Amino acid sequence: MKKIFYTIALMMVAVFAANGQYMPHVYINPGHGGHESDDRNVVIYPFAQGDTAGYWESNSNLKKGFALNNCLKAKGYTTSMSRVTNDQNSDLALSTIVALCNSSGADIFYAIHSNATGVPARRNHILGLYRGPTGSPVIANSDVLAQTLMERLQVNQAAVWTSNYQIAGDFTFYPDWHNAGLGVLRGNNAVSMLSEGSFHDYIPETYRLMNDNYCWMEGWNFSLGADDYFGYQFFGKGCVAGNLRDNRMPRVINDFIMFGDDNREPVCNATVILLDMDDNPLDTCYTDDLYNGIYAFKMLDPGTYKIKVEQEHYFSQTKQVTIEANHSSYCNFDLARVRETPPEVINYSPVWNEGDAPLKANIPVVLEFNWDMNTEITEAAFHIEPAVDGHFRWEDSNYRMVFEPNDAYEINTLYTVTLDTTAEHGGGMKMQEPFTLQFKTTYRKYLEVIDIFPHEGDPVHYKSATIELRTDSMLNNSYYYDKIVLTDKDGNALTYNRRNTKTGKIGDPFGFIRIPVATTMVPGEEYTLTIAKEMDDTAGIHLPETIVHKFIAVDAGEDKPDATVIEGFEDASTFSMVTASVNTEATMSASTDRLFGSKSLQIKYNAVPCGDYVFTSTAIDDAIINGNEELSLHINGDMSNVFLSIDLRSTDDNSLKTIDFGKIDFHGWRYVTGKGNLQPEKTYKIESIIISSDTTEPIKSATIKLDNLLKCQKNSGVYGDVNGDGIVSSVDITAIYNYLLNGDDTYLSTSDVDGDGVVSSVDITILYNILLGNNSSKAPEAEQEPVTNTTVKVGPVPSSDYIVASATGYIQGVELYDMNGNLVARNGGNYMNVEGMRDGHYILKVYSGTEVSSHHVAVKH
Amino acid sequence: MKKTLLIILGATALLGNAQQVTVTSSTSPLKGVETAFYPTLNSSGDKLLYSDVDANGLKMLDFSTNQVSTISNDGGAGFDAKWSADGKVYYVTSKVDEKSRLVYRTGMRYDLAQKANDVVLEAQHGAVHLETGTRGMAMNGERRNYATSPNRGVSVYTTGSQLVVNINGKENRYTPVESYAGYLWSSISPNGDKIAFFAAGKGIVVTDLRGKVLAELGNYEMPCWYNNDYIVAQNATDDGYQFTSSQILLLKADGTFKHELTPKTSMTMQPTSGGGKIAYTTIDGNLTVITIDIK
Repeated sequence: MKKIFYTIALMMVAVFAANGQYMPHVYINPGHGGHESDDRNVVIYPFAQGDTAGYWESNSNLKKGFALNNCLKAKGYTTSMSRVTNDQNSDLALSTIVALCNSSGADIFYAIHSNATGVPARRNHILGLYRGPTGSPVIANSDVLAQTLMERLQVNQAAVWTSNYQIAGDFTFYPDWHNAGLGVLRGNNAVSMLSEGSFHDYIPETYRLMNDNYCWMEGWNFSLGADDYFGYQFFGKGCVAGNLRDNRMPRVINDFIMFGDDNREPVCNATVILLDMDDNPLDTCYTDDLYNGIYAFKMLDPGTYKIKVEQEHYFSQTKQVTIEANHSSYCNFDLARVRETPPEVINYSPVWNEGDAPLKANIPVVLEFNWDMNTEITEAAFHIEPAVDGHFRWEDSNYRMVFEPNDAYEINTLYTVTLDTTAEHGGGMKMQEPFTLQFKTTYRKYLEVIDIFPHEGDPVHYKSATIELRTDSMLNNSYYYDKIVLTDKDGNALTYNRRNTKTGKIGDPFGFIRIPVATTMVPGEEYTLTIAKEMDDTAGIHLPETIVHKFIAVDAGEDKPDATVIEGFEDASTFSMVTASVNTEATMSASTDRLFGSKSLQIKYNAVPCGDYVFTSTAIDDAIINGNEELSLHINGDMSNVFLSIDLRSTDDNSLKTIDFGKIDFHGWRYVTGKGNLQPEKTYKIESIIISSDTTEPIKSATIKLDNLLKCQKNSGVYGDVNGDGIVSSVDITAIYNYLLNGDDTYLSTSDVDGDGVVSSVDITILYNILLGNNSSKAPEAEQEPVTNTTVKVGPVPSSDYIVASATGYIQGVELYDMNGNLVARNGGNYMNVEGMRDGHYILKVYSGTEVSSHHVAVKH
Repeated sequence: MKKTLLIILGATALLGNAQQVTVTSSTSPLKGVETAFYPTLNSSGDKLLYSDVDANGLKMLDFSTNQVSTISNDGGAGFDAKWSADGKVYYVTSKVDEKSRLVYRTGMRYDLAQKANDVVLEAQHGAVHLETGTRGMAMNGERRNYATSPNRGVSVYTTGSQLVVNINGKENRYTPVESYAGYLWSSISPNGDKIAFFAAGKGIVVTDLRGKVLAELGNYEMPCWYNNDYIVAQNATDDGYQFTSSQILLLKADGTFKHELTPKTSMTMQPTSGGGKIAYTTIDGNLTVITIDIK
């Protein structure tokens, strides 16, 4: 056969030489090479990444190059190839390839490549590039060369194309390259082009490019493109190729994107026989076992032939095909599987019998068949009682049917699933017997959230933040990073320190995932924690709905110029235990995790089942607190839900007062101002710091750190806040009553709300009006922006008197937080009086309908 | 162990021959005027040929007058233009024939004194290789040839994987190293006793006039002689589509020394040398001429 081709070739050369014409010289550049970093490897089963036997662009380019070289030589062309091997040395530099082409005296130059999207999207089409702007090739006719080739490549019907071919100048196609263009075309003085023959990252195409015949056909089509360019139609041979696919079985390649006929299984290991019209076999070829179904018969004389396909699992099929000289014919086969028995369910789940434990409330129903099924008809034959909204999924090429409830089944319910006899397989045979299964669901339908940090609106220290989800059962540890996402205000995901992520394990009191955040946040900016509904436990029970928490990044270590440091927690040796409850213990040590100085104090606390640990220091013992001062503490929490408080004793009357720093329900550093009622006219000494726990909390231990304990002048800035807890509430009214009725003068200095010099019922009336939202006496007069849309607006910024929020809906209230996240003031209307506030930046939280929004505001007097 | 010893010996050899190279001057004579590619200095270094990015057209920069003159506007003229020993310029133009769509190449000569071109090799199909000699010039086409004289002193060119050496009219063909894709960029050392060329897949090879390999300098491109002992070359990398780095190297012809004249990130390329000067361009055509001092 080879001899015949070369005889033809010699004849062609002789004919051309006799006419004073020369056969063209073609320079062939199979792109890339060497299986190195500038090569392109696509990992496909069964090959591992980097396996040189797997898919590499350099491999398929070289196969095409060899085919083109052989076809051109058979036609009488002269050729040069830039490489015939695929090793490091054959991967020539771009300028070398250009110089070799020019030196060879080439008439045309083909750089053979395939393409990749470089993004998750997939497509498959042909691209021809020549040097220069589109429409103005640097070397004349390069666009014509590209056009003739593209038309020949596009006829390939064994592929699935997502669009028609594209031709462009490389200056236009790569606008960011500033007309540098493709390296193998730069300075190339042959009529030249680079072909991206298909997309090798489109996985069905990747498998096709593994097939020698497929690559050969592209090489052959290249040669036809060269013929067309030079106007040659003398060769007199044709080829046929095609794709063998199952006529209905869907193709399963993980979650890869597939188009058109590529969604059906290719048929491997088939025998393809070329017959003459009298059924005499002329040639035989085989599809390989690399999931492409490709066959080809090469260099055939023009005429009519038959092609017969045989494969043990399919019905044999024969088609007639006409071969034309200098053309490629394509003849695809859709083969029908042999299905000789009726369909039946051969496996199923759940398997449940009366008396068995009930099953989780979202368990899928899986039916496995002996044949691939007709999906539409079989879905119609499926019934579940009581009725449940759900959806079907088919797996394993339609051998397995999966029904999943859209949400969850009812709890404590017996379900009956029936597949009636109308269900049929791909060959059209129906089930002979109906199939039935039953199962009963448990009491549990959803994964229950115990706690989440950050909570909605929480202040979170901007550095080394930690997020945590706690649930009533152990979480499924697979892919949870996809389901718990932290984003900034622009929607960019923050990165996690995955190595230090902690998850709950058997024996823990609850399920949890605790993730340190690697990204440093920006103080004052809003962040969003989103936990997807799909977050599930080890039983597959998921959340009832997606959870979204917005929170504000703060700098907990922000300078407080008006405050005095009582205790810096620098020296752990100055601390000592005062008392501890039974079965309560703690150790105190220095920690370098601090906000100020060089150390903080770390307290490891353990109490079973609960108890108090009371301690103090020499600096704390010496401190004097005035009754008009407040205490603030920097606490590094661990979400242990222990309580922290400070006891003070009056030097005037020896009375004991407790300042409450609340529950440690957070992670990381936080600046907390203590809540409590010191009497303004008295002075106090601190007795101790107390860590306590609650029997209801499942956690019995804690590791918290403390830094700078501060005191500063008390100024809640909240009009009507008699007891100084930062809010106006019924407790303030009670305080005035206690003075008027019982003579309790604890809050006498703040009980004269209207400032008329007398504490009276008028002051109580003012407080009632505030609580009812009728605070007209203090309402702002102007500067309120008109309500224009549903977006909450806040202004003015900065403000010296009132900050007003506006929205289309009703605003229930506003809260003002300092940049350390401490609540400064709260008001039951749409405004905040900031007349008494210190200059600085704050966060105003606006409660409107079901929405809570946070706004950066500023106070400037 | 053997390998380790060889590496140590090699390193010791390099250290033993360590040279100090200093760039003593650097100018960009065409900066802001026009881009220049494929620069070629004459042997005295006072004139430089250059072309456009696609090697179309050929111009000459005369350093003594700073004047630029146009030699040719034809396609491909700049790709392999060469200075002959008598100071003329030889180059090959290429053109696509409208009817046959074949590329035809024409051998040209430019006489600086006359400021005139003449055709020395009529247009022909196929490759035309320029052969530079110490006393003459030749153009070797697939159909026809041209030579200034049969005896061109010592001359050399490459075709395919052959090094063609002509000594006083006697031609010999050598294949000093294996290279499937072929040889390129051959030149004779100024004193006429060595040849440097590039073998695809191997790199720069230095031989004697009988094709005996004296040194392999590494997988670099476009070698040209700086003097009898040193060669300048291009070291470029790419991703298969475009250049990712390119620099100019100074290599000792015996393979014992390598110096980076420009950093990898400079995207400098297409070096040439003559008269003690080194010229090169950048990916975007910024022509630079430098002088160096080797101690």
